[in-house]
Amino acid sequence: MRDVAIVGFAQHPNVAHFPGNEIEMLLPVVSQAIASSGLQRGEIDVTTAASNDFFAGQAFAFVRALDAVGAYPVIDDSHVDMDGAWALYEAWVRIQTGEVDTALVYALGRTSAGRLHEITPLQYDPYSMQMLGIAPTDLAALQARVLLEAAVVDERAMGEIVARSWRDGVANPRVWHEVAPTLEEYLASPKLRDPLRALDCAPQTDGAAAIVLASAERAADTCETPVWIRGIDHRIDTHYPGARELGECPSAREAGQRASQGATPDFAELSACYSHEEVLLRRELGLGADTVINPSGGALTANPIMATGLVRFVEAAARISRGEGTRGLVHASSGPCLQQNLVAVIEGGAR
Amino acid sequence: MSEACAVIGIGQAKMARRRNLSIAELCREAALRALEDAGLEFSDIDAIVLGKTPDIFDGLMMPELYLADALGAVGKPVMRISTAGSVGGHTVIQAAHLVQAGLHRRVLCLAYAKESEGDINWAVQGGGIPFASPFVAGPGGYFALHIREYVRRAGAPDHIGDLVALKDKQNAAINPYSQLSEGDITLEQIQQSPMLWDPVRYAHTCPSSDGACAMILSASDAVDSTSTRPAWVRATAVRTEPATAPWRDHTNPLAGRECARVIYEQAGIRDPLREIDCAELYIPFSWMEPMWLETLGFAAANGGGWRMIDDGGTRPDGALPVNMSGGLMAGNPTSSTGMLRMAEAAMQVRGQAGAHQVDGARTALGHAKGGASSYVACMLFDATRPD
Amino acid sequence: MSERGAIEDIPTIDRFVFPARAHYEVTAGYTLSGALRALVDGRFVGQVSRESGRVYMPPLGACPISATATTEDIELPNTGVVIAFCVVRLPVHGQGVKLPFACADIMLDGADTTFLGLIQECEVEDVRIGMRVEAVWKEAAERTTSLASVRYFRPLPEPDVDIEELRTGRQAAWEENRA
Repeated sequence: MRDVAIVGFAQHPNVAHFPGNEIEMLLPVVSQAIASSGLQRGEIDVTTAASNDFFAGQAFAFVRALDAVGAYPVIDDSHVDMDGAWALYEAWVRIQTGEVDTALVYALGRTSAGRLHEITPLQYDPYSMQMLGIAPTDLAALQARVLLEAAVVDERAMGEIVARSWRDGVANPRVWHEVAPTLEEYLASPKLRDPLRALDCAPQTDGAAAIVLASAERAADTCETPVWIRGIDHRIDTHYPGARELGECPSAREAGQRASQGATPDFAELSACYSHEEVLLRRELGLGADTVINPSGGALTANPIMATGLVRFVEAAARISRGEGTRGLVHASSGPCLQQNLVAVIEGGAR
Repeated sequence: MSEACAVIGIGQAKMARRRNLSIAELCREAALRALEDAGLEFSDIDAIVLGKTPDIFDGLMMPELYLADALGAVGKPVMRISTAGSVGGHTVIQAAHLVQAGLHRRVLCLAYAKESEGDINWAVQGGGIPFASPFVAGPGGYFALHIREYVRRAGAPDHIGDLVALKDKQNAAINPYSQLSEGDITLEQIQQSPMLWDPVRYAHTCPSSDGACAMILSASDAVDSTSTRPAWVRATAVRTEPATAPWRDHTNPLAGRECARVIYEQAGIRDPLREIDCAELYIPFSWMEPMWLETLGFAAANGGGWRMIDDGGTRPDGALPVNMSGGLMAGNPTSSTGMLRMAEAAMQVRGQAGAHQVDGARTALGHAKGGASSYVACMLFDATRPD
Repeated sequence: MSERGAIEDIPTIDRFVFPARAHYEVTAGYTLSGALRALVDGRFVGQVSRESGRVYMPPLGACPISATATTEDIELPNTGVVIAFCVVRLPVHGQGVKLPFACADIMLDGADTTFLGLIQECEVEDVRIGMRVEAVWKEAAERTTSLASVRYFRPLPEPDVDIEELRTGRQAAWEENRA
């Protein structure tokens, strides 16, 4: 394996609604990520991107986004309709082939043009699930119920996760919230989809993120504090919540084992969009008390779908760059009840 | 660093309106044929790459989630590529990258379209988007503009589009997976078919199809254990340009010229017309064959393409057989359309193309394009293992 | 009891209709808003990139050449050139124009990008690449923040433009400006 480093990164502030268009959102993020890498735009060998047309409400919306990345006159480019973490994986693979040394990865998570409860269910089996009228929160509530019944988590623990996440989110200048709910306020709040309260669910968010990757050879030239990708893997589980043991998440477990190789991270950035998911992920990823969870506030306070996972990479790389952490575990997820999971371990220090 | 990689299994679903099948069943039809071809089972596959663009065409978002079960992907890595119409090409190339990077030994890639489940004409219009065109020209509207510009630049006579349509319809008639079977159509019938977007006639256009294509890519150490003849991946490239760049050449797109230059450079090819035995190109309107022959360096710019066609150079017995499968005239299941081009090129060098086999094909080009001809993917396959 | 059957005996369901509805509120963006408002006034406003000097009509918010935001508006005239065209003879749902009609890529004078426009007031056989055209606007009350505010383009009684010359001319002027 070639050593690959994150040499530049940026994210758009996570907001409830960004009033400009997609290009206006992406352009400064991409420019800033490239600038922070020390590379010139022309030195980027490959571009990989992530977004989803359903959130823009238009087929081929991702084609227009290319204007923002300086695709002129011509670039080597790919795009996934997955979370940006998978675009990062694709770029990492490209560097592994030895064909290229540098890559720009970006993800657009601008979802506020539509309504999540109308759009996200379109990813379910069109023959047996969509017509049931179920939304992601309904399925998440099933999983939460399973975990509560099995006493893996209780209401108070979920509330503590919510309170901690919001406290950290409010302290994060990249997250727009100003007031964090307390545990007492959580417990007093009504249930939205029993057993889930509104506060157990991530808010609809607009955001975007970009990362520049470089092979070790190039990273040494361009960056004083590269953040190394030590391991990365992703796996998928069955699509059907009814066919799964909802109290487990084997795809996250396997991806975690393959990515971390037993190393204990001092912090983790998890794409847990519901409070109970954090509990399940900690268990499957083997994260104990010596790992700080979601110091950025996590996906529970800022969830720009399609960019959520790449934002976790940005937050983790930024934390390591600031010297507040050494080894971070990064997690991204897709599909109902954490169906698909990507895990990476990133580290500061020497190659 | 880069590991040798070969195609060891190919499967296609019959192109048609496949209303009696679910998306999963349609995909499995292709996937199971590819596995059978390779002598493998789902359990032998290490990773899956799915190609689909855009989701809005059939209304199913992120289909890799729902298809994980049908494709034997549970517990494995699944990637989902989504570039424009070229996505089928990008998808095979991504699968090749996974092998070339040494990450996986056998990768299944698959692309599908179930166009009968959605309303494509609605989906491509993108109503309500600021600065959208206030009138509807239909799917050929954009390409007809640039075909006309080609005709002007190259001085192409009217019958070139007809000749290509005739050749591709005859080729499609011997492709068992073809949606259309119009092998006995005459040049006169093509010339009398209705004009839709001058100079594009009805008979110059491809059908809308359901379909799927699957390919299995393998590392060289896993090739030896199979009995089938491999198609070695000799070169791959993707290139994209901004569709709306000032003064962009839509007729001879830079992304296409660059993509071709890069694969020829990788493969050490100096004279593509002599060194490549056949080519399977993404030609949605017959008039685009002369344009792409020029863009891909098989003929001189501004006229070489149509002259080559006029001389019969792209017929099955010509200097460079083009679209032996019938190309998009055989069917256009968007997303799989691009992968079908790569599959046909690989089948040719494997000697597996049946009635449309080009005798002695050793080196074949597969080409896919999308967007405003702004996304391009090219692959070169070879019967012998590259050094 | 009943005889045993094979799975093939079960009739397949070939079609069921499940309409998906999703509501969107599309944001034009800062850059496009000025251009769209100008259409209400019966004017074309594009944007010029300070970095590349290129003029975008319609403006998209970014210059792909320099990968920077376009922030400067530029007033463009009512006149332009047909860069490419086709004649539409196929009825398509939602068309709203009498067939056949000419649909053209139009580059306004002073712009470097094109947009699709309808050509009227001439026979479709008379439309040419390089033809000079001008916009005919709808009445003020009918105009909206949409290109539909332009009723159509019509030919100007002026000689055709050689688009290769136009391209090289713009390129030369552009390079001179940069130098």
